[in-house]
Amino acid sequence: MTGPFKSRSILPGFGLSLGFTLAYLGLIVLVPLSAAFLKVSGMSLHDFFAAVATPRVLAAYRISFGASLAAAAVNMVFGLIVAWVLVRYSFPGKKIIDALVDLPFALPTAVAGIALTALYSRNGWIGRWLLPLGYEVAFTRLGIFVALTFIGLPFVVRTLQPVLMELEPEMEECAASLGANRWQTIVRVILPEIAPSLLTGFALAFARALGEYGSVVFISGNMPMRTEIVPLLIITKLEQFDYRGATAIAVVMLIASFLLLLLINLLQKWSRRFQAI
Amino acid sequence: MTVVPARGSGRPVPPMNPHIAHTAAGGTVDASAGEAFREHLSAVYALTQDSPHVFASPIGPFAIGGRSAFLPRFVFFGPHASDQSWRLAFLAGFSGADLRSSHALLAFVERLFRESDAGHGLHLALFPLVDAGGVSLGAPDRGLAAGHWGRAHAPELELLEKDSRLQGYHGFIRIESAPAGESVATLRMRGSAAEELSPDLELISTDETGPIPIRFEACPGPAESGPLSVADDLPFAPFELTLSLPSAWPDAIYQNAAGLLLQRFLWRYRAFQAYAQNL
Repeated sequence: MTGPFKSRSILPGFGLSLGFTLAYLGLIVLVPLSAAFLKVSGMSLHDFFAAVATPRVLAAYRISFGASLAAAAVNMVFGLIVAWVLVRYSFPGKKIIDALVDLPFALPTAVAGIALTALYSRNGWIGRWLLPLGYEVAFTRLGIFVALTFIGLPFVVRTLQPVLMELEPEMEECAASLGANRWQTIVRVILPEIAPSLLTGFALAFARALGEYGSVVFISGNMPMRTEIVPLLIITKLEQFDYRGATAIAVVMLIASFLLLLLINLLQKWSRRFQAI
Repeated sequence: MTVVPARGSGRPVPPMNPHIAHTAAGGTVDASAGEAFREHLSAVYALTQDSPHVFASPIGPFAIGGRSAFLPRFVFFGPHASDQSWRLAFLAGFSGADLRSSHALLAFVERLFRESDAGHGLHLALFPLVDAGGVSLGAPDRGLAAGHWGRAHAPELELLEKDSRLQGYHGFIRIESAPAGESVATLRMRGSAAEELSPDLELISTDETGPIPIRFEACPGPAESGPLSVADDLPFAPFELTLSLPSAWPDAIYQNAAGLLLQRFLWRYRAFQAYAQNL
């Protein structure tokens, strides 16, 4: 339609819904995050770096980012296997296993922390067998890694499942009929297809692990410089009425998380270039 | 109980520190004393912000009387401390009515901040106020000093018990104010170590206590209260050393005596451990 009248969309209410979307996101996401930046803006650059670059804070960054990355990486591998098994095979108890994947989602994180601590402590069901082998899990960095792996698994599995369902087995058969061996089928046919969602699952698991507090405080031992994660350090700072220091650390986490997620998104975009269909 | 006669003499009495409020042992928590403690604690928190050795690391939170509170804790990793370092826990303020011991332990934290070599190779946990809930509520003495850690109903003792199991301390050092009428400091040794060691010979020497009048006691046998009440479940058989300082002493002398004795104890303990390792 031409003339002075605007054409009407088939789906009405674009302006209203966009306004609602922006207002909602602004209130729920942008305003709280801006408040953190506003709080920090009152600090001088020297004070800011003094707050975020002490040995204790740097150690907490190392532990939080290191354990989160390691847990997300492990979940990427084993989450793929779990998702593959759940999508490709039929076996008794499949639905129970499928439901079990969601358990870390549904379980309160404190319960997860208590359960893991009970399992992996020196006298726990698993911990007592690991101790003679020289592995101590509870109250060590390894415990943090275990807790973060536990809470991150569903993010990878649930992200991959729909993509694997869409991926037809005929593609693998086709590759085999064209002379590809199993390894070539995985690397050149399957992985390029699932890479973007695999990275999405990794990013979600990583982001979730980075902010995790409830389960980690039970199993980590919370020892400064050794097993103290950033969220716990922020709580500790707040308890000491060091609100600015806590906010400065939170802002650094925010920026670092944002940059990492941006990097992962760019990687996703790059990996889509290799998709066959 | 073995009692070693007191030695040393009193020192000139300096004026009382106005910053630290007096509390009568066994009485209720004075609001101004609680406020003074919080100010002192905040000052030490601020002091240790950038320290590479002393870290404020309160544990909790725990709920008491409908409120949420934390148990103040400072962690000290001496130079060259490692996971295999000897671990000691310092406890004070078992009663909100005895905040002088809390101030003394906070002053010791400040000393460790300034002179970190004093705890070379050691891992220390310092709990300046065990009765954090009592002070928060203004409650009278809750009897935490005599509480069994394994059967405790007080959330602070539950946290301490959990922390003890977790860290596996080799020893506990308790600071408390002696009942009125006591005029000398007392070092009391409890636990299995008390049966084997003479406290004045091994863990602190009378030659090192300087002018502070001091009496040594040993209480061998099982303990029904304090950290040793759960000693059987701990990874190491710990000792408990109680430093009891006369309530009548002015604040400055009280704090100086606590700091001096604790520092001498650390020196002796380090030397003792080094000798044992050499053997």
